[in-house]
Amino acid sequence: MNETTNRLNRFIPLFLTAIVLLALLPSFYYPNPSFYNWIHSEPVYGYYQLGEGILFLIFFALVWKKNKADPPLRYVLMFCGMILFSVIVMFIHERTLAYGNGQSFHLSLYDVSTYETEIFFDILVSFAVLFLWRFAKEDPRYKNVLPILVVLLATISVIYGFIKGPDPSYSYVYYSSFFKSSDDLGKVLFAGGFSLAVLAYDSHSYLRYLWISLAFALLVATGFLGLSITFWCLTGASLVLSFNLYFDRYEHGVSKALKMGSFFYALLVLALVLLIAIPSPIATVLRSYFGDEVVAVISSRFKIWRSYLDTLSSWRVFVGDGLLGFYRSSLFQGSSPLYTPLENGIFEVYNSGGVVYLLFYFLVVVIGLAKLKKEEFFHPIFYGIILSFSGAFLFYTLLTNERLLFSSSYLSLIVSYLFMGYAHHRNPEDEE
Amino acid sequence: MERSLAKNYFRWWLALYLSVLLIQATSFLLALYFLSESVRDGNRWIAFGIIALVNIIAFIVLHVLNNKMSVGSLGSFMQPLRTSRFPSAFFTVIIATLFSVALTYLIDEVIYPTPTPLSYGALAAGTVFLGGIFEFIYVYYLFQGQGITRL
Repeated sequence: MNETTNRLNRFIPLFLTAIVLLALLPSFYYPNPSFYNWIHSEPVYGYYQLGEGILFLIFFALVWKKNKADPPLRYVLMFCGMILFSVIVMFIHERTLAYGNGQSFHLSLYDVSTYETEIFFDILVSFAVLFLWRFAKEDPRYKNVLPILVVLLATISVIYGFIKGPDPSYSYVYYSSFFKSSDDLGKVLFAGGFSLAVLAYDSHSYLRYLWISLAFALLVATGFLGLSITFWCLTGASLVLSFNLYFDRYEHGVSKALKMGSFFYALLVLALVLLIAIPSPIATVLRSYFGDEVVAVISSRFKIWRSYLDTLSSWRVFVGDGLLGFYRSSLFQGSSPLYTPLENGIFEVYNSGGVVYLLFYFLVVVIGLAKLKKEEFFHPIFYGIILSFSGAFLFYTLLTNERLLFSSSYLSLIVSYLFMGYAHHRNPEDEE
Repeated sequence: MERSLAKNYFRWWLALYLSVLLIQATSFLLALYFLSESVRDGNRWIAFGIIALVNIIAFIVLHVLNNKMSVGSLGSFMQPLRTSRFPSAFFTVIIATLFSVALTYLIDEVIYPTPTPLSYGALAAGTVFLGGIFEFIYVYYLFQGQGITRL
């Protein structure tokens, strides 16, 4: 491998950091919403996403070419099949719908092209994640740039969230910090928690304990910010991790203090669950932080999913409904066309391309897991961190609009970088 | 000369094998779809019955064909194709889905457009998705062949 290729591979984490920042930028709403309003105006957002996508594709075409990284033919065929299928499905999906008393709703070409471009981009992102991001592991000099940036962003978001205070228009605790909705804050904090876990793994002595303490503080803050979905996903992942640390028989750099800490952490989580579950005045207070959002969100999500599934019929069952699927339920209820996000990764994928898309993402996750197992199985703590947080992320996607594991949204980009591109070693020489 | 003849003979068997495979996959997805619609009072029992019958016949024929194409000269010609069983299984699901779309459109919206009184989207999406996964796994293992040539 020549020096140019090495430099290019070394640059992958830095490039991904820039892409994550570009993907995250349109989510900032506070303290000044004028930038948000401008970037979300009609032609600007489309061009912005297109520019970001083109930048991404150019860089990864370069990585592919320079590394001569030809994936196995079966996977190339699978991705080619997906592109071909997406083109066919693009023409199958309807763009006009008659509703009410002779009224009709027509999707604009701009909306359709933005939506379809995003779908193609997601397919290419999953290709890059599976077959190109692993080159970042070959010279992991800048591997911590993205996790550190995410941790900084999460910490600042928490501080600003508490300074700004909760939104009084909600019946439950609702903080959104810099963002328009608490969903984005939850995503940033989830990414922060995952990043802190890998940073703690990568560091030694006092720095490791600093990252663990910060992770614990972030987790507590997530609970008190009322982001209970994020809180329980992070708690679940960290609980699995604590079991992994406690039952590690081969002492992979795990100190006795860390083992005891894991044990007490598991006890603490158990105590919290009991405190919330057993009716008492404390339980009432705790539920407002750790339970109300989950209940409110799940009940509202169920309504959305039900109305989406109720409108699904005929050939749409096989290939999804495309962009019209986001409007159909509001039109069937006789109201004006209203874009309703499906708030579920599985439904988002299903709506884009039906059975084949779900099968494709299922296979992509299986291929990713197989590759991860092959590369990291003999580093059980690191493997445990990646697996537990990725599992928590998959669960997280069930209640948010994240499109399963490998998509172009900023949280997915961060998670998939840590999943496939983050090296467990510091230098190539450290690798056993 | 003899090998060229055998190859020509193999092409016809392969065309038959792939056609039956597609009929089996499409009818399987369609049968699940019409079953879901019928369960929710969709009155598609005749369509379901015919398609399920076609599926069973195609399933048996495919099994016989697969056994035949796993031995002798046909088996040896099939070997290179069997190594690409992963994309073959994936493409089978893709093509079967597209055929299912066309047939469902014809039956539900052109030939017999009767709206179902109860919503069946959730049931149909669930069964068809599971059917797609099953079909992928089935074709993957089917392409491994039978007997001595099994991969």
